[in-house]
Amino acid sequence: MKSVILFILCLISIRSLSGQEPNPDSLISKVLFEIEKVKSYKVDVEIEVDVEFINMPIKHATMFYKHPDKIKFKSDEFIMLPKKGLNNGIRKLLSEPYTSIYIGTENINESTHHIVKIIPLGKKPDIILATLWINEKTNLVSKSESSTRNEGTFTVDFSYSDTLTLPSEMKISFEIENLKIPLKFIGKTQGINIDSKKAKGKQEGQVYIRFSNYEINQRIDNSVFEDNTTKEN
Amino acid sequence: MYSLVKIELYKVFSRKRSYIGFIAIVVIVLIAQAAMLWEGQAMHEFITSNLSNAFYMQGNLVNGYLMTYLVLNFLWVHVPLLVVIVTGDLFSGEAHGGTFRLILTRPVSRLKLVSVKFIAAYIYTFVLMFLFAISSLGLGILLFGKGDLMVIFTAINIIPETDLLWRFIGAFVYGFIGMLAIASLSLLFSAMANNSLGPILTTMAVIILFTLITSFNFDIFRSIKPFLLTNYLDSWQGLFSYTVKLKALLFDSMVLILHCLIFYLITVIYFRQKDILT
Repeated sequence: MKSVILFILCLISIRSLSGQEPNPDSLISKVLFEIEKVKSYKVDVEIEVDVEFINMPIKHATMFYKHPDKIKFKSDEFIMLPKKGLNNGIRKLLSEPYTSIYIGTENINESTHHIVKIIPLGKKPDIILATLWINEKTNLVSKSESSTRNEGTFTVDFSYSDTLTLPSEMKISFEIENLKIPLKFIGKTQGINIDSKKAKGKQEGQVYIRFSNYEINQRIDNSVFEDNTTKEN
Repeated sequence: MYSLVKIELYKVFSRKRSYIGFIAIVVIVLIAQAAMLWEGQAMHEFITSNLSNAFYMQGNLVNGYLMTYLVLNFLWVHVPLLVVIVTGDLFSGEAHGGTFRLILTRPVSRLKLVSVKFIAAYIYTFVLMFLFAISSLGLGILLFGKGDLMVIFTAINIIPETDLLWRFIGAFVYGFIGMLAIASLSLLFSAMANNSLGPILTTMAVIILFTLITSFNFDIFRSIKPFLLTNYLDSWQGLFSYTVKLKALLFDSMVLILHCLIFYLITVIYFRQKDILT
């Protein structure tokens, strides 16, 4: 761990000597400025779960957000939402003490993006290392990759429409344990090949969340968030 | 023919044992629903425990449809017994009571008599299955409400509420066809016997034996499985796979109907030649 920190500090000092790279804190401030513009919103969401052993149709819900961290999903249908990467995670990450390191640039969808690594400095932060790809022109995060203490790594890809600072689509990629449900419990077991090695492993899953009909900075009553069946992350 | 069916139905429904099945169905469904009301949420959490590490789940999964699905799973092995205790007695009961000698002195052909007994048995089976469907689905929805259904069927299938009713109707219709085949088998044994208990026990023994062979995944049994009646009884579960294979289901139901026809024909042939000595 010490050698990693030493390496990172060396990297910082070498890069700062060159004196040509943007200041990561300034980039993050711009990101936060964009995020903080939005105090509340209500939006229709379409949720598509893409995990090998889960078959479910695209689900629909309405999402409510209120500054700083209130989030609520309402739906008549049964919905499954990823625990990681959804609940305004970037804002939460950047609201705690951290160290940032500028890594370089990368082209994503023909736009230049600054890559900034974030090392949270809390006592036992859930996320131990995060990488943000920040669009040079819009100051919006197009991609984030977070390594958690106990639950592996998850990546979030954001797509934006031309007019909004809020995403029109999010693709959340994460690791999930293979099916360990007692098959005999419900349903038919005949003809099912249970690969015990595979059942113990993990696989990557994706959840696509598409947003439409944003109502930004309109008054949302606190009572909307009261029945909190979807817990905060 | 119509009046013969009416007389046969009167005989079926005037026996006390015919109501054992109805009472048993309602009691079992009530007990299962009560257990689910008590333990349903804990059971759901147990089933979805490894999903809850990655997902927040919101919505009512412990609902009437899940209850009905579970009750269907528990009961498809037991409903045959309830059918057989009535249908297995239709011929042998009369042989044992000595009433065949009286009936067959009337201008009623043996073919007609066999046909009427089959029709009466099928109507009784229909009433039993209808009661099963109404009590499990109706009571389930009344107690637990509606919602999507989570079924483990080679994967976790989450079937939307709007797509469920036709699947359950299909499952009960398929279950009914399966029970018709069981009833036909018991009628065949009943026609061959002169006491009530023999055909009931023989039918159940055959079902248990066939079910065991169907359940074992040994190579030695693989070649005979397609010829066993029990191999097709639980195919209704295919209606709860994410993409329903209707062709396979139709094939399986045709096999069951073919069983009904074969058992009926053997019964007719046997009964026409049978010496009525009791």
